[in-house]
Amino acid sequence: MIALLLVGSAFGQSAEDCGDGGFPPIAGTSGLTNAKSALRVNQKTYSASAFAEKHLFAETAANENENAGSFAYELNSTYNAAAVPVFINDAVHSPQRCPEDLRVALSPLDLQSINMGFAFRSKNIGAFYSASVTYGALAHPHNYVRGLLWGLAMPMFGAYALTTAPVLGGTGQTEGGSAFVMDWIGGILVQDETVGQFSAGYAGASRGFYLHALDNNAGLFGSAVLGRPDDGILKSARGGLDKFDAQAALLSLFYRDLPFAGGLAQDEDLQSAKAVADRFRSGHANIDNIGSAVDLRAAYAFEPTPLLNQATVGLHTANFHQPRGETALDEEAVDTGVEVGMVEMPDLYSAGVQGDTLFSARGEVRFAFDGFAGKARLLYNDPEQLVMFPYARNVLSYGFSLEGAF
Amino acid sequence: MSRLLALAAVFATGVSCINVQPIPPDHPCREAGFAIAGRVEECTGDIGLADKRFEQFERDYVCIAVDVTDEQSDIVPPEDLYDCAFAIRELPCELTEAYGNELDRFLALSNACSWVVARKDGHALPTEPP
Repeated sequence: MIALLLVGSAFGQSAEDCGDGGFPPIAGTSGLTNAKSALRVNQKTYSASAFAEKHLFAETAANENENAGSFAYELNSTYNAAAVPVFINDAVHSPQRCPEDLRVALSPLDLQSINMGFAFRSKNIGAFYSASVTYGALAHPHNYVRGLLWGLAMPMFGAYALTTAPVLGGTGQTEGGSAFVMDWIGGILVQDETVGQFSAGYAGASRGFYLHALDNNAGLFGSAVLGRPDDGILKSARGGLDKFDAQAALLSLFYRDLPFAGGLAQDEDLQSAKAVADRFRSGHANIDNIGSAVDLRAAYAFEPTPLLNQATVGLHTANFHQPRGETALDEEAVDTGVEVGMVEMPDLYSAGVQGDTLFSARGEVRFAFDGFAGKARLLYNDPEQLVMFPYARNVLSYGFSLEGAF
Repeated sequence: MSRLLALAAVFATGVSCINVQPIPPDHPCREAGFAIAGRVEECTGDIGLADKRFEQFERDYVCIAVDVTDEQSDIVPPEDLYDCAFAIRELPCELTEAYGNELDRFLALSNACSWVVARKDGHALPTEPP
């Protein structure tokens, strides 16, 4: 122990001795502009509507019971989504403990999202509720506190916010390099065994109508959030083919159109941040479960710029993928998969980064027990992250989800 | 549940090792170039033109390395080194388009530009927009 302390003291000053964080970001830098963009992308990607489509509707539609329901919880944390220049006061006034070369430093931006929702139907009619809490902040300089913040404090606070979202209303607050947004949707769903499922409801944060349709046979789906005419009617849209069972593999093709500007956060500064264009349009093609072991995936971002070509190959155990709408709830099982590849990032000088070829990796564990199914995953420079944060380097995420059906 | 949360806390601590880093010495200078590219992209929507402007910036100008611990930094506060990038990002779109490929005009928007950027041909940067 003493030896460890001696080794520790040999390192002397570190960023961990530079106060309690909250360093002011420096205006006019690409890092701050990127951080504002990342905060907004985090809100949109892990929105309440995206979560309901991913975890609730297909499960409820595929359930053959006369009365059926599903519920789900998901948490995602991302570290180093952007590098933001900050001014550290302690490095100027307390150089004996905070290194002087950190007077101006690059601080990582951390993001987190927590989602929760449920859907149920009695025969052909039912209801759904989905809520999200997304937030982000510049990293706390002390890694232990940083870990506690994102690993314990915020998830506990998020659980409270998710359950009270309709009462408190959709809300957003942004300041400097941090943001907090609470979003929810709720409404009714109607299901027909031959045609499919249709859902309609109110989108709390967008203050608009939410529509979703899912075809029971091939897996065609479409969704939209509609706002006021004076605010741009189409707030967001998504459509495509989900896990079409092509015998030898599961085929997914979809097109996504998400707004970057407008919507949840009302902060004027955030609205004016324009590191990228107003729309984020991307096409995705996944051929999963080839020979029950191999996945091939590709994605391409059309806008803001054709900026990312990706190709990854994945290997997994036999029951890693489930057909659309099905979860391995009835048996105890653990399946794992790993995916590695290269991502070619072009120059993006307007966002302050040069082109690069990045090593990419992801690992995922899927498990089932006592009527629950869950996933835990770790991503490093993953295409899924880099499509959202094209200015990020060495971006690391972990996520956890749990769902059940009755 | 408590075990799961404890595991999450340990894991979050483990994966969050990348933290605050010193800036590279040419960072404030490159930010000036990125600001020109960023403003061009925002005002014209042309990312190719934005990239050309940055490549021109790299071709015609040289970065002055800054040391934030230098005594000089008491005269020029380190955070003010980014005033050049800030001034460029505040430029209205009509002026951004009017300046075109005359990067000297962008770099004359703030005195801070001369602290971090120099012309490769040895001529001084203009002190005010022509």
